[in-house]
Amino acid sequence: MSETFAIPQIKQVQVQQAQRNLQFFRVIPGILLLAAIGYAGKLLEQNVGKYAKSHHWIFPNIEYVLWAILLGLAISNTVGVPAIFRAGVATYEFWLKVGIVLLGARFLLGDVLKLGGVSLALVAIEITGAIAFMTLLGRLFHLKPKLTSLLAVGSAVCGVSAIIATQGAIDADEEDSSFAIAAILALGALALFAFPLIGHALHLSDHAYGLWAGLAVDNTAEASAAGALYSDAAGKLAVLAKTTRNAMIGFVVLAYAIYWAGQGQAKTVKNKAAFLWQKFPKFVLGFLLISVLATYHFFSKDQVTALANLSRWAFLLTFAGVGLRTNFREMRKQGLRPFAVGAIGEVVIAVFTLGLVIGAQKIWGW
Amino acid sequence: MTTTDATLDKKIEKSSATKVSWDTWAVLAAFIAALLVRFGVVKHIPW
Repeated sequence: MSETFAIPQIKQVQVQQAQRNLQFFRVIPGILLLAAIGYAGKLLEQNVGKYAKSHHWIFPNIEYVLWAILLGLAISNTVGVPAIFRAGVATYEFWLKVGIVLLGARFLLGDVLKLGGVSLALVAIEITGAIAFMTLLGRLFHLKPKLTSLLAVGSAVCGVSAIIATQGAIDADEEDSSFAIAAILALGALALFAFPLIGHALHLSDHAYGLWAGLAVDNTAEASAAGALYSDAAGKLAVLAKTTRNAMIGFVVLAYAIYWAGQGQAKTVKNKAAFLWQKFPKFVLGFLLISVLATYHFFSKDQVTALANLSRWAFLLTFAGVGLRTNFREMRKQGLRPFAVGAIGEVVIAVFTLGLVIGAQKIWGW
Repeated sequence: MTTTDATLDKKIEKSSATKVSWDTWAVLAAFIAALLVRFGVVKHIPW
């Protein structure tokens, strides 16, 4: 091949580099919007209560988590998110993962192993029960089998990430995954508000509630927010339980990939170990590693506090993103049947996991 | 095919095959932040 043919390839590398640079600049306005909404939520938490008190009004103490979500929801469902901000708003999952890794500094390895062990046992029961029930429900409602698989994985493991990973592995239609994602997101938004109310009504301890939110709420961002809305301690536990659930994603997706390949409707998985590694959420390893470092006093007490605060800032951007990403009009467009299957499934999973957590609470006496 | 072409081919192929996921970037960002705090570059993070 002569030099003249090499020129387009050099250009291709340059174009890729330019696209990467452009992508970097494209996310900045949205990240600034996330930060502005999150910070506004924090200011509202500090000032609304004070203002109401000084005027002798009775006003509930609303935490920054809820303010940030409500502000995001208000923007998303009224004026909408302008195109210039969308790429940056989509980074909320990145901030979520940064927050989770840094949160590892607040867990000693012994706690992680103890709580993670309990979570792991409950997660295994939850995943098995949820997949079996969602599959049955999908058959009863005559949903397409692959859509049923996507809904089952979404509600059993970890929401949107699990659905996207499974879609690729089982060659499901884009339309099916859009349905499943819309259903999971709509139900996650409802759970966000319903779970703290139910938790308070049942007088659940922070420990029991955190575990329940981590086991039953599907998307990691919503599970973290539902936990944090209850209390700081419940938020920590919700993240730990949800992270344990996330760690299972590779195994569940692999099982589905093997099943659908056996049916001749998906590609065969050649290297199972590589498949598992590819699907494994790396932030779980990051969380564990930071926890190990904190356990062996790599960080001083003040440094652990600084890292915990940094983790809170990252979560603040996430919670703003949860509100901005939730658009009820868009969700309504996706149709009722997958939503109905998801909703029935979620209610049953929530009741089932609540039973599990209450049972575990009696055994371990939290 | 010249060596330059082959290298470029590999580079293009590698750049798409080894694209680092957001997940990994998040872990890297968190560790960089943790190291900056650990070695005193960032001393205090208020909340």
